[in-house]
Amino acid sequence: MNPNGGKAGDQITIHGKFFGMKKGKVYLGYLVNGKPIKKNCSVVSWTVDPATEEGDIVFVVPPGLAPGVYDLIVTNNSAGSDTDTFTMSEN
Amino acid sequence: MVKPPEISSIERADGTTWDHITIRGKFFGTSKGRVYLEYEKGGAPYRTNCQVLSWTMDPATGESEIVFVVPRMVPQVCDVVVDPYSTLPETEEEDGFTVKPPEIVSVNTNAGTAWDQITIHGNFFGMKKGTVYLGYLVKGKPTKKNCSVASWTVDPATEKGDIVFVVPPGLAPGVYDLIVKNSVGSSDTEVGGFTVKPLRLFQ
Repeated sequence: MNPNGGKAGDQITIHGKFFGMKKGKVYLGYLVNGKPIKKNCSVVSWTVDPATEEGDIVFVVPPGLAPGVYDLIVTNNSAGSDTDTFTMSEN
Repeated sequence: MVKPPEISSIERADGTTWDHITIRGKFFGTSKGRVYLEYEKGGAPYRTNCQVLSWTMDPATGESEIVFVVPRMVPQVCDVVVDPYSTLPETEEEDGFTVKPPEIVSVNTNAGTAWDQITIHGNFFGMKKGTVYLGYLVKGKPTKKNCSVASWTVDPATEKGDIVFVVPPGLAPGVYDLIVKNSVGSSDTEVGGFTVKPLRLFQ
């Protein structure tokens, strides 16, 4: 991920594999009273090289999240998902 | 004097449903007769009538040619029977034609994820589009997920063909059987032939 942290409005690029050819979803996840909550992130681009299956997702850090460490969750249309961490900084 | 018909050649020894096959020989008659594929069923000979597209004979030489369509039937080794019109006797080529099931030969990639387009190469897929499935077990019970077929092409001369299918969404990452079924229900399965890969972020 480049970078692995940012503030609201930043565009972040995620690099990975088997994202799938159709756009999926990116979330920042956190806990509220022990209950997992996900904040949907706008996806600017979702590109995959069909030959290598490697791809890049560019998403926008959503507004309204407090500074802290979040789970970065990517899901595709194949019931697949993977999670990394993302650090939210102050605006 | 009426001469009995003789089969001298059959264009191909094998094929599949809807193929057009040419029989060459002599004295088939100038009027269209019938062509059958005959095989044993329940210990007795059983005939399947074939659509005849053309039936020609040169009256001067007796040189004859028939083009017939392989009918819907399960894979079999068949005798090819030419039954001329009227009172002419019939003739047959024993084990002259084998109706083959589809054969998966190779897959361009054996792993991918939803919406990927995958190409299967093989033989005897048939001229009409069939179905591609990804098969798996649910509580020990075989289950199949239908895949959208983007293209289904076969070279009628060689019977070699390519199927392009789309990996369906909603399948959990794992190993699946790749199943190709032709338009008459004959199939081939590549056990564990395709893996749905999990999405992975590079750290």
